[in-house]
Amino acid sequence: MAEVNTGGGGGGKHQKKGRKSSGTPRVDMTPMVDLAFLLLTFFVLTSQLNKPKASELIVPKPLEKNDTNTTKIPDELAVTILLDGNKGKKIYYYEGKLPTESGKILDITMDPKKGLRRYILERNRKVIAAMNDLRNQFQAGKIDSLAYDTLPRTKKYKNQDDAPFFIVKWGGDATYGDVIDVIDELKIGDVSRYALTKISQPEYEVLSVRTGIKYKDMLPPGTNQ
Amino acid sequence: MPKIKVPRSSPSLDMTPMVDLAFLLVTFFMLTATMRTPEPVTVDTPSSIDAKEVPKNTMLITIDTLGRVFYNIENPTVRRIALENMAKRFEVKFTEEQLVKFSNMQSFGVSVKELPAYIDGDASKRKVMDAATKGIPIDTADQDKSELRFWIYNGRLEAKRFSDENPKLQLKPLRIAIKADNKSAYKKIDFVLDEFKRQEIFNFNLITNLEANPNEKKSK
Repeated sequence: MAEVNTGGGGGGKHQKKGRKSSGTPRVDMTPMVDLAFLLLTFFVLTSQLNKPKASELIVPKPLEKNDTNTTKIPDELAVTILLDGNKGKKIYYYEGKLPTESGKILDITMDPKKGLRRYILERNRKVIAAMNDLRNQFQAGKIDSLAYDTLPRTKKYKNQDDAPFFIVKWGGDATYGDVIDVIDELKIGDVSRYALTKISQPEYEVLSVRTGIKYKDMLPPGTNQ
Repeated sequence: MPKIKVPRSSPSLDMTPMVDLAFLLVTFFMLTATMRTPEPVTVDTPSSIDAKEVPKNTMLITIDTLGRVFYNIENPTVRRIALENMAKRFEVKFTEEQLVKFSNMQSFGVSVKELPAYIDGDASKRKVMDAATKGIPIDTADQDKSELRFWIYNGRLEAKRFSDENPKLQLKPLRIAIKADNKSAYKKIDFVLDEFKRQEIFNFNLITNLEANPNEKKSK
C-alpha cells in the first residue's frame, strides 16, 4: 500500500538498480487522503462551531439599613412582569401599583410580533427612537465605538427620566429559560432600567385568581409572608 | 468483432485534488473551531442577543435541569490550592498524585468527601458518579457546611493571590459565570445568586447561545 511508484509504468519493483526514471515520480496519495479525512472527522466531531456567548447580569447591591439614597419609581413608570412557569405560554404583568382586583393583571404572550416585544416597543418608544438614532450615527461613522458604548447609559438615551422601569418577578415554577427570555426581550427593547426579584405573596394571591393555580404550592422558598 | 481489451491493472486515480480538498477542510475546522471541553452534564443554554465572547480566566458554575450545581475554575494552579484549602476545611486527605490529577480536571459536581474517589475513577466511573451525585452541597441552613460557598470563596481568594504573585502574566481579574439549562428551575439558580450576594459578587456573566438581534437587522 505504501510503496512509491517511480517512473509511471507499473514496473517499479522490477526496475534495475541505478537506472534513473524518466518523468516526475508518482506518489500514491491514498494513505494521505486517509489521514486527511481521519483528521477531518476528528475535528468535526470534537469542535463546537457556535461558540457560547456571555451576557452580563448586574444585580443591585442589597440596601444598607440606613441608606436613604434610594430612588423611588413613580407608579406610572413601573411595569411588573410576573413569571409563574409559563403555563400556556402566557406571562402576566401589571402597571403601577398592585391592583386589588385581579382584573387589572393583564396577560401577554412571548410572540415576537404581538406579545411582550410589541408592548415594550410601545412603552419604551422614546428610548428606542433615541437608540436607533444612535445606532445609525454609529454605522455612518459619526461617533466612535467608545461613545457608542458609554452614551446609551446616559440620561439622553436609556436612562431618560420618563423611561419605564420593568420589574421582573419570578415564582417557584419559573425556569431559568423563562427569566432569560424576558430579560432578552427587555434588552431587545433597549430597556436598561430593570430589576429581578422574587414574587411576593400578595402578587401570588392575585395571580392565582387569574391562573387558577394555588399559590401556596408555588411560593418560592424564603418568600416574605 | 474485435475483443475489447480489459486493462489488467486497476485504474489509478489522481488523488491530489482530493487531498487538497481534505486538507483545506481540516485547516478550516482547525482554525474556526474551539475544542469542546468534556463536561459532566449536558446543559442546553438559553439564547440571547448578547454577542460578547466568553471571558478568559473564569470561574464557572453550572446548574443542570435537576438543579444540581457543578463547579469549575480554569487555572490549574488555583484549582490545586483551592482544593488544598477545601481539604483542610472539610478534613479530607488527598495524595500528591490526586492533587496533580485534580488540577487538570474540568467541571465536577461531587462533595469534597467523594472527590478522592472521583479523581481516582476512570471515565466510566466518573460518569456513574456524575449521574448519581446531588451536585456540590449547598446548605442554606448551616452556612459553614455549604461547600459551594467555600469553593467560590477559595477560588476567588487564590485567583487573586495568583495574579498578584505573577504580575508578568497580566491576568485579567477573575470573572464569574453561570451556565444553566433552559429548564432549570429559577429558584435553584437563586440559591447560587444568594451566595453571590453574600460574597458581594454583583457583576457576573451568564453563558448563552447567540440569537439574531432584531435591532441590528433593522438598521442594516
